[in-house]
Amino acid sequence: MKKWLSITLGIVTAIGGFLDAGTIATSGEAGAKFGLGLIWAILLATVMAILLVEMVGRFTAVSQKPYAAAIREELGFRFYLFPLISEIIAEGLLLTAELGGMAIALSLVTGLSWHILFPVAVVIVFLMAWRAPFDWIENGPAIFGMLMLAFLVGVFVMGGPSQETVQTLWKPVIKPGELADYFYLVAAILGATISPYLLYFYSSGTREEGWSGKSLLLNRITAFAGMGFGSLGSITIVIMSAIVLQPQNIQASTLGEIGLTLATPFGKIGSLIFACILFVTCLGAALECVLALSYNVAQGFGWPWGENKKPVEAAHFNLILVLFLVIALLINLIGIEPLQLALFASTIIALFLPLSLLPFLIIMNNRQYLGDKINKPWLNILVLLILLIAFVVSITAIPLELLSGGG
Amino acid sequence: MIQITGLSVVQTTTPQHHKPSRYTHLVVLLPLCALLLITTGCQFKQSAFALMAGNTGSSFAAAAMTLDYAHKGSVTATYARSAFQSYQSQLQNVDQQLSARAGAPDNRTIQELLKLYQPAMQAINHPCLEAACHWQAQITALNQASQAFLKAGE
Repeated sequence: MKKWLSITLGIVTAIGGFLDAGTIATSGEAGAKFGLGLIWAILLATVMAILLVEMVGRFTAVSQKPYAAAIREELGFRFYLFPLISEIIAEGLLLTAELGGMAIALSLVTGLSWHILFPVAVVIVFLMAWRAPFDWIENGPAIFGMLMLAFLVGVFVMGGPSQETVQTLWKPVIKPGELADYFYLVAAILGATISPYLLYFYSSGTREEGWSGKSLLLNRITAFAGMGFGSLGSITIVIMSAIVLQPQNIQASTLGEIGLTLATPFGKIGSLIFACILFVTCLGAALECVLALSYNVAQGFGWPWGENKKPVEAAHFNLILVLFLVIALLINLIGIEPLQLALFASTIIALFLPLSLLPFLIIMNNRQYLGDKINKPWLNILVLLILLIAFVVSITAIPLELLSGGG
Repeated sequence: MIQITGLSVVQTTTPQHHKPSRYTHLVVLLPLCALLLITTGCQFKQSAFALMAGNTGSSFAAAAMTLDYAHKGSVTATYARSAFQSYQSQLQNVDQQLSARAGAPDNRTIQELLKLYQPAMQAINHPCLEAACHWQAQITALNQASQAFLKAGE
């Protein structure tokens, strides 16, 4: 029974890795600008995320090795530096954006400037990442993340999308000059959803949870349930934005605007629920991001790591964690809006995506690690397709951002 | 079964024996075509002016809705205050940048937009979140500016 409660690992991975400031931003903007016309991109990203999460979970459960350590072992330290450095750049930016998202959520409740509240967000993440056991990090955001269902309830309370809006599902309305924006959002949705830190975190989480070769069914269900939950949350934000914001010509370019979608059906409570959702998803993502960075570096260099260890037992791991929070604090001093930073980070993640996904093809076919649990041929074909999509997204993300003005 | 290991990849891709397959060409050509389409399409992107005008109009519309909701009791005053801080940073210095943007219309149109921008920005900088002040007038100013900027951005 306790093992089955581990599905929360999938839910928290989804809340932190799937649902975060970037996903809320891109989903809100997608619905406000193109109605339901970008739901296909979310569904595509969901399928990709489910496949990758299942594979990385299976790999770690069977081989008892986290993904980062396996990349180094199998492909050598020099190759490993590429995904590591790309991760440090992309996730460093994303961590700052998530902390900014938490600060904005606090600002929506207190009315204080988010700039003042940013250090408060850093302290909260530091305390949780430094002292809280893995169970707390899993269960806290997972339980509160259920508030995300408010968007689903909101869709029903609003009576669902109009007939005209439903048609945008298969026939998106793209005005002249908006095509770059449309494709940029596709790239941003894929980048925001398939963040490699999600894979590093989930892989390390399966080790922290003590999963083994007997946990493969649990892993599969967790991947489906977790990413499915994340996808549902993301899609309902798109629908609510299409119902509430699009008719008002509001493009959802700030997080507060997306909160109006819940204030419309639920009033003050709705706006407060949105602030809670924003806080919890960004907290989950910030924890996941900073831990994934620390896991990645510690595992790559072969240092002791783990949230269930005391800081003194995994000194390097905990030091890196603090270091990245300090870096985030410094990046924040530049003064970039969290939402813009989240979109930019999603673009950078998209740019580096193939570097983190390429090792899948190799390690998932290595019998030394996986025995008879290696990838089936059809799974390898799907990984190749994912890599192709990641490659296209990678080379088009930056030009699209420049052409569309960053969404 | 596809068996790809790090070793076999290294062994089979030495420069002397490597002959790119048609699939390799496809993998290279497809993204290049996409890139070409992105960088050359005239209708593919909006002008810098249209982009800025559209974003400004959208932010004014969001501000009007937020102010309306604050007085209807749909959002708290603190929520509205925080949201207005974001609108403020979105809309800052638009008046100074608008005419310099590529695709900007004639000076008269810019001046007409700026006439609506000033009172709307006053509402953004000092939103009436108390019942005592003229919040309806602010909503009117915000809506007028929103419609004008959105039209200019079309």
